[in-house]
Amino acid sequence: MATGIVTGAPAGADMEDMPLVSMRGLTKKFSLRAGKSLRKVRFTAVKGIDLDIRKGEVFGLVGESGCGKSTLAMLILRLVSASSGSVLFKGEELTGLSYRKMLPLRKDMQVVFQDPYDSLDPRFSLEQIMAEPLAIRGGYSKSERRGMIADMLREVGLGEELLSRYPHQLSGGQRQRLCIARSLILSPEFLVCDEAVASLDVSVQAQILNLLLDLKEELGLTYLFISHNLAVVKFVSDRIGVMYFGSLVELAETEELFRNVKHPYTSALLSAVPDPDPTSTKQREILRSGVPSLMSPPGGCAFHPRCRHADERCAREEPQLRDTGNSHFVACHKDVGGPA
Amino acid sequence: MRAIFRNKLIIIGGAIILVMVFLVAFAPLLTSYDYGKVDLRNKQLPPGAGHIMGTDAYGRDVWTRIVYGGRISLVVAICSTALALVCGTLLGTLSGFVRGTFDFVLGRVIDVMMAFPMLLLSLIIGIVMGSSVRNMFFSIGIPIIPMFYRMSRATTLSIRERSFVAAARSMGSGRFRLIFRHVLPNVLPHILVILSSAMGGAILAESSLGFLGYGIPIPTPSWGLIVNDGRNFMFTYPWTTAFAGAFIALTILGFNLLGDGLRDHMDPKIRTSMK
Ligand SMILES: Nc1ncnc2c1ncn2[C@@H]1O[C@H](COP(=O)(O)OP(=O)(O)OP(=O)(O)O)[C@@H](O)[C@H]1O
Ligand code: SF4
Ligand SMILES: [Mg+2]
Repeated sequence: MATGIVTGAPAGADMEDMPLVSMRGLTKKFSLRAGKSLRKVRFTAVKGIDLDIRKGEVFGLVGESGCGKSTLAMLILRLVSASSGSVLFKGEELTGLSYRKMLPLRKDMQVVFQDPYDSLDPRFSLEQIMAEPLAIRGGYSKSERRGMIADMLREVGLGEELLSRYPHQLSGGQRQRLCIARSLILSPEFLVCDEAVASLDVSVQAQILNLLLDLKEELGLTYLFISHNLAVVKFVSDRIGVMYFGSLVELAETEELFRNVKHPYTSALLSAVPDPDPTSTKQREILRSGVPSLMSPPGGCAFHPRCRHADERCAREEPQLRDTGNSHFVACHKDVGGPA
Repeated sequence: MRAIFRNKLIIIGGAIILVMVFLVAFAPLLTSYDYGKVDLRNKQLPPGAGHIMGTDAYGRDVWTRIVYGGRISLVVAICSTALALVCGTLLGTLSGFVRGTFDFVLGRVIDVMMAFPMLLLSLIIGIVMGSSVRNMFFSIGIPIIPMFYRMSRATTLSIRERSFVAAARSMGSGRFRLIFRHVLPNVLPHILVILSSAMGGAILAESSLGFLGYGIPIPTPSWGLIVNDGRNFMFTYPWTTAFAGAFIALTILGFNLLGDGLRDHMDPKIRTSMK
């Protein structure tokens, strides 16, 4: 396969082994006007991410609000362009692709956003919403379109009687089902779910999560599942990356991560998840200070102002992601592990 | 499309405007007088059998002058507002969508235009271009452009950040489709809200220009001109001003109702709740 040669994958490499999405040193800098001054301040929202998402997996990405999760997703989808680094999709370099060259790839990567109401044009009926991806792609007859829309709606559990409704006439759960249906109608391989259940009722969250998991099995999809909620990520993910301040700080298979938490930030996130067992003696870890400002990042380890284990080296030297065995990667100078 | 006739605002506003259009379109059939014929023996007659709206200071039939004058007032108001709407909305939407240098330069031009009082700007454009009916469209329409520009730009700035725009981009939608399928349709209802006041402003601008002597050069009267004709005798003989003023006010009201009704109609949230 030609792309295999370009990326240097060994000839005859099994397609299953090739990551669907690879990020190398992926970085995004934004410049913003600071306060009322005219001077622009540049800050790094996503910082040198190296990450492979394997075909067929659910990769969970967690981190606090503002740590750069959505920006990373937009970089992969090329809805924002990278400042440096690269993204490969199915072995093809996306960074620097022209708008036109990007078009055929768009069909293979889709996204579901947090707020389903905001994601649906209020002036479009459900039928128009579902028809849009087909119209943009082109080449479908009217009856083909109708059939595809009906099939997809059935798949996500929306009845055809809703076709003439507008988004405001649907429930939150129905809207998100519609967003999912729209994103899957062109049969993509890769779906980004950016806080896809965060705005829904808890009972509806479970339905949508199960729907997503069922669809994944049925259609052989690969997910990048973004959430600030560790419990949700744990429920759906095969592998989890923990993001802090634009960088990945921990990366492991879900079971391994929860059995063997290594980064102090991950264990703080974990202690913030409410424990349903009232007899539990688990102590909540209280983080010392708030999230530092992206405009004036702390030197050394970005987490050190808040870290219980910080020492003088942490303030000086930035830890790199290192393999601690078992495909468990951590960016921390110390081998502290989770709270015993 | 049926739903449009269930909207009372649209029915009433539309009816007023239709009546006005009907009156001015069939003006020659609605009167047996000549709108310019001076008859000093019959000046300032109160409304009565021969002259239903009386006569003015020169003995001209006021009803005749109003139905003929409405032609100029309506045509000038509609054309100049349409000109401002198309230019202002397209430029404002484009400005808000592409931002950058285009937006910056255009924004400063609009700022300069807004630094002038509207009437002064109209006068300057009128004087520079010379007086003719076509130039009236420009001298009244151009000063209204900033109103549409600013509204559509501000709305576009908020719409372009909505997830449905990002979703459309992720499907491979080009800029043209984004602007014309998603942004502009969501901008238009906001434009309709200001359309009515723009139309009213245009009618008033036309009458002010007429009063200042920079109006339409042809002998046809306009509503503004009729009001101003009667102004000197406001307290002794108010009929002329009152009738012409009433027509101006009624027309502005009609545009207002129509604008509000159309805005409701274009909002699926309100439209579907009326079904
Ligand atoms: N277009 C932009 N221009 C400037 N700054 C931006 C832009 N988009 C995002 N940012 C900034 O980049 C940082 C990361 O934002 P991002 O949306 O990726 O965070 P997030 O992890 O998705 O947060 P949340 O959980 O709240 O969605 C934030 O500080 C945000 O303000
Ligand atoms: S490197 Fe130091 S400051 Fe950073 S997480 Fe590890 S122990 Fe804490
Ligand atoms: Mg986000």
